[in-house]
Amino acid sequence: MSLTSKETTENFETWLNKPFVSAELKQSLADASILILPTEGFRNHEGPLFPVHTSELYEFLKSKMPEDTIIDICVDSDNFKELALHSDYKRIGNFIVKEMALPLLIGLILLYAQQKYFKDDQSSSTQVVSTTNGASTTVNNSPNTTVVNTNVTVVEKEKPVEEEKPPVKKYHNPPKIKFSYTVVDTTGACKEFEFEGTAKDLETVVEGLNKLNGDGDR
Amino acid sequence: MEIDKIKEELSSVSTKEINYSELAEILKRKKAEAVKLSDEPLAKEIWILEQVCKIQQRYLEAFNKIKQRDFYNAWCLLEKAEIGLLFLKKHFSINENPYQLKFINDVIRKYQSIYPYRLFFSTELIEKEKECSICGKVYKLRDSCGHITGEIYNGELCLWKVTKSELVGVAVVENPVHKYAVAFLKSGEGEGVEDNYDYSSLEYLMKLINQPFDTWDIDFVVKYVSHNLFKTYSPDETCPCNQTDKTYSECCLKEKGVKSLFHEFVVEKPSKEIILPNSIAIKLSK
Repeated sequence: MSLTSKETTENFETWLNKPFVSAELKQSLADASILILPTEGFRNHEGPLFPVHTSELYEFLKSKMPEDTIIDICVDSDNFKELALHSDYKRIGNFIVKEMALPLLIGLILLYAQQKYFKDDQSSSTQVVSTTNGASTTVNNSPNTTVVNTNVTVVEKEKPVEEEKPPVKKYHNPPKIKFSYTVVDTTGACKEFEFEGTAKDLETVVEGLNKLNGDGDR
Repeated sequence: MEIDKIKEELSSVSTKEINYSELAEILKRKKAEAVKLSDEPLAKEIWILEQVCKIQQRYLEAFNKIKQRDFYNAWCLLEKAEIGLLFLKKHFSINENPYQLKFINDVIRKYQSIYPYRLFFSTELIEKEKECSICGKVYKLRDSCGHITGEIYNGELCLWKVTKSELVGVAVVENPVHKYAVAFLKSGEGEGVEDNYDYSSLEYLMKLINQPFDTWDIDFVVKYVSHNLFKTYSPDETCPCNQTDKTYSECCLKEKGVKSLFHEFVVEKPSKEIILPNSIAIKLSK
């Protein structure tokens, strides 16, 4: 499992000024609290691309959002295309989110992933350290974790000593998801986070985020 | 045949032969009647039974093909049964039912763990256009038809049908979405493929079990095989454990033996066709 973070200058305005967002769409996206973002510059392809199943995720998130929280996709309808890569990770997507909507977004991503990918997941929880500005927080008493909090932060977990186990076929491993989100706080400062892990890992991150929000460390 | 009778028939899968073609025809007719009457719950119930039919039939065919040493085609049928279970699980508990679905679900995974396939091809596609399998409407962002993928409408499963796509690459992966895309070698200049995979574990298992619903289990054990059996290997060659790119001297030569993966089978009703070597007959005293 890994949760990385880095400072970024890409905010809502950055994305709303992209060429694949028309002036008309820009106006309607201006009040959004959450935008689903594309990947740009995939190999030789020009234009934005979204991970496969983004449309399904979008409909799901829309159906669960409270009325006062607007979520949308940062692309004109005619330019919407999905990229099916089919690898070890289930790519959920990239998001930009206003700070106050972050717990809602992460909670709904967890719910979506649980329903779609993790229903039969028997994996055990791994230990997580989440990073804040200049401080490191151990979420669930994990003594064997190392955090280096510089501009690019890498969270690593020292693997516990295990008995020798035979290799499991990769397609029988618990599914893992990957997604990133940029949080924009009330001062306009932006920080990008990237998560890779299983459902249990994500549950731990959600708990950690709730603790951090509760402690006011952000 | 009424629905209850069909359920009874499907429940007997482990004890008698079922005429799936006949059941499929009956269910198709009944579903059409239910849809005509706008009876969504009944149409869905019939869809569930249709899936049970398909899953059972594919598993049974796969078992027979493994018995006949038609391993790759069996693999594909196992995958189809697995996909059927995946769609069914959202609407029907496979754990508590008389249709042997839990057994099929678990045993498919066991068979897959014994197969020697490690590498698969995975397409990389840009999906440019897709349509709803229920209403045929082309998907438009912000103007969806309202149907939800994975749900059942009029006794049919809602899926997206990709109608326009662009192939941007093919990757070699160990964790494929499409398990049928197994990597094989091409045989010379011809059109065919060579199947050089080692199916000895499967062949051994098939000597032990007779029927598709015979209970068996598997344990994977790593053991160290004596270096004496690898005397022809030079220390500078790639380690014969085949688990690493290291040389023999860097890898297992330092250990008590060469690491090897063993399959240990536990069979409830072993076939009478084979007498296991080194077996001991134990007389049970009353």
